[in-house]
Amino acid sequence: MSEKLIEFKNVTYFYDTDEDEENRPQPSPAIKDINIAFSKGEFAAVLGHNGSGKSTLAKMCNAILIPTSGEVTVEGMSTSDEENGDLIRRKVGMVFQNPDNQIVATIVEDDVAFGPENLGVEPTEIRRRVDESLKAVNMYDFRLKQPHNLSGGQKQRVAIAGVLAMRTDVIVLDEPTAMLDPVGRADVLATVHRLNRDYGITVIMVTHFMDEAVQADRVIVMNKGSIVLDGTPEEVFSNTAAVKSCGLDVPQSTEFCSRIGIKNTVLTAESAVEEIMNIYGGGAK
Amino acid sequence: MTPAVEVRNLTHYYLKGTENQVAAINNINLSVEKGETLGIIGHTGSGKSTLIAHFNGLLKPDEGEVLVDGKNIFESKETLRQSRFTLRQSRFKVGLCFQYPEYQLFEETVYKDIAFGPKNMKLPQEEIDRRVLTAAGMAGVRKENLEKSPFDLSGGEKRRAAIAGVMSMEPQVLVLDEPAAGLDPAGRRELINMIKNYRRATGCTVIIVSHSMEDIASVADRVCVLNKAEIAMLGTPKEVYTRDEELRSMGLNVPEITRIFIMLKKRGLDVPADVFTVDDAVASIRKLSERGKA
Repeated sequence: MSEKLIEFKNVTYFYDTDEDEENRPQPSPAIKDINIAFSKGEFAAVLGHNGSGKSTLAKMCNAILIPTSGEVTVEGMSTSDEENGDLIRRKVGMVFQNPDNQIVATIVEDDVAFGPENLGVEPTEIRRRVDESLKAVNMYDFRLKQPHNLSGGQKQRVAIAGVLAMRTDVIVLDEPTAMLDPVGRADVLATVHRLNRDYGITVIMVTHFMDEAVQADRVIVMNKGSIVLDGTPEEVFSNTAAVKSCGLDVPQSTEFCSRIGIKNTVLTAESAVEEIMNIYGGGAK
Repeated sequence: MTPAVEVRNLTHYYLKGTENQVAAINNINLSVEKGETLGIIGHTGSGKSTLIAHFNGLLKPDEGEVLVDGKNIFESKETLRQSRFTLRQSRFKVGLCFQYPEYQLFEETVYKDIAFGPKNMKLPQEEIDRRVLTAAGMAGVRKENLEKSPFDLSGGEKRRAAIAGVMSMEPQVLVLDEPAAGLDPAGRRELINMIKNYRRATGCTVIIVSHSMEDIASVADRVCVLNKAEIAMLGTPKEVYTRDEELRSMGLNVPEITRIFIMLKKRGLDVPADVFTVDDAVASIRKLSERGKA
């Protein structure tokens, strides 16, 4: 049985309301009564429309946000206990959407060293970690470059290296590819998958892109602060109506195949082609 | 007919005069007809944003010229000003809406933000009111949001308010840089429909820069592909998207559904290669199975 690394128990979260304006209606919670657990080594994609609560969920994984009620635990440590904050953030690192908002240094390797330096890691050990992390994201050759000269995808990979250098077990990514072009997206995605596969790092990735979700082990769909679907990509995307009712799309391949009457849940263009050739390809060689 | 916007032999260098000088766009020739919707695609750094910043003179060409409605906009101060707004006709010529325009909202209310442009054009209050309401309607900004602070709106609503702020200047050419970036699928669809409706209602020229080949396929009459500072392809979506291998080598992806049909065609199935939407795809498979029965 896989062990639970991060666990949400009856978690509800309200954003602070502006107390000056009394007549403002009580807002609905960003997250309401969520129960979910993430296991070691898994790759989970979190989907949901804007305002569905997915970023709030992500920010609760490493105590950036603390539940209004209920509890989030990381390896049994509650995020509500301030004393656990440091330890939790060493276990769970976070990468945000905008690559320009999370780079702090003027040289790539200094930026990656920023985290471990703040943890008081020995200089020789920092050097080792920085080199290793940059190699892991294929950015070692850029270690002496200035971050503002990098592309968006390269900056995101530097940000990921910065998290790796802290030796975290979990990386939470909040729409890491939203601002990238197709090449940058593919690079970042391949990097995250490699870290998951080769280093056993647990990945929780919030995304708007269905083709990115398809490649995850597990897909979680959020709507109005609740989890409405949770399963393998096949299980989730076979439920086209439910996915669409949350303001999301299923992958084009999936929708197309289900509309022409193919029973299996198809997730990629390649398998769509195979399914169609099986039916219509009889005459063609 | 005089093109709405035309660029001739346009070159722009960054870090000009230093050893790091690079051409962001290199010898571009492009003309955009009145009333057409042109999609511009290209990977990051291909020169898309540099190109469109020339359309209303935000950047000055290092070589070549920019013509708006047949006039070289850099001819004099007056023509440059006219490329942004013509005071006599109260007509703003090229309206540029940047990427993530919601970061540029700044007024106390959404209404004031949308009114900012027309107010600077020194239009009478009545006309300002009319324009704000028209633009808000077209951009899908709800009436009850007009008196709110723009910062109280959701991400998608802010985006639409910011776009309304450009539409209210009633430009003859509306240029949108990545208008749907960062929106969820439903928000994306709404935004693309909004652009289609805007165009239908006004008949104006629209230029859209995007990474999303799906979005471009559904709105554009013509597609311009930029690669390494030059125009690599220019044609209808059908002409451009069927060159999928070249596109991929430029770091671009054709829509997933198009890719399926290109693969099916290669495998010998008698299907069209220019399928951009799931609806078209379903229709052509139905045709195939009817033919099979006949």
